[in-house]
Amino acid sequence: MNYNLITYCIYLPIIIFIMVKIGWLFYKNGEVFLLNLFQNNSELVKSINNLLLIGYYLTNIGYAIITIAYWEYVHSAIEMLNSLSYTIGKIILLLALMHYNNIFWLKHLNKSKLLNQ
Amino acid sequence: MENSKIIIGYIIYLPIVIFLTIYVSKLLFKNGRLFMIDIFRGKEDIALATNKLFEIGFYLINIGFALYIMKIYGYSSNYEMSNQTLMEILSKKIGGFTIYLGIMLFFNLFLFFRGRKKSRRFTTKTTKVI
Repeated sequence: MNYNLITYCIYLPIIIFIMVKIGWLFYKNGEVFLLNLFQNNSELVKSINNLLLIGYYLTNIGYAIITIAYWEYVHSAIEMLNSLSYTIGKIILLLALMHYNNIFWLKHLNKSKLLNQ
Repeated sequence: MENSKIIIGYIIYLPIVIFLTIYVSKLLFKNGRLFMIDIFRGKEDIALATNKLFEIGFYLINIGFALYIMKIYGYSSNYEMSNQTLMEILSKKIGGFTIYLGIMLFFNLFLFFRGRKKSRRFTTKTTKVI
């Protein structure tokens, strides 16, 4: 076991836990907006929501796994902590950015729907 | 056995990829049934048959792509590979394939939405003419 392998073993559970948790929260809370957009057609909304959740998991966990391939070489415990915090922080920031983007689109779509009616 | 690490890599890679493809396509087309019925305006037999055909296509494309990118390049057969290198190579392959699968899923979702919109526009037009 060298330091790189230990880093990966710490990194993967943390990041997968964060992503699964956040995806589940979005799944729960986004349903109301989708119901609003699709005229309360709850069966269709459920299937769209499921598909969006799976797509989110695939792309984001895929990105989290692929960062391992480009990890810098780790020599000591301090470097391990540094690189871990840097990478996890980067991914969480990206998630936040995407999240605000989503909120913006939801707002935009709801508004345009109101204007159409 | 020379170069057993690469074989171990393949043995880890293949089940993950095939299981992921089967799981995702099962989910996608279980949920896509509703869209298909919507698109074909309630003709259920055509809708289900189209759904099945799309599912087979999805399997073929994704498992084919997974096998196509399986080969691990750049390591001669008498090179002793470390665990770290193996893990990095595998992460690159599996992560890349997962992102590809996600993009394919979103593409299929986009196709569903487009079909639904088109069929809906067509229906409203015909009802107007009638």
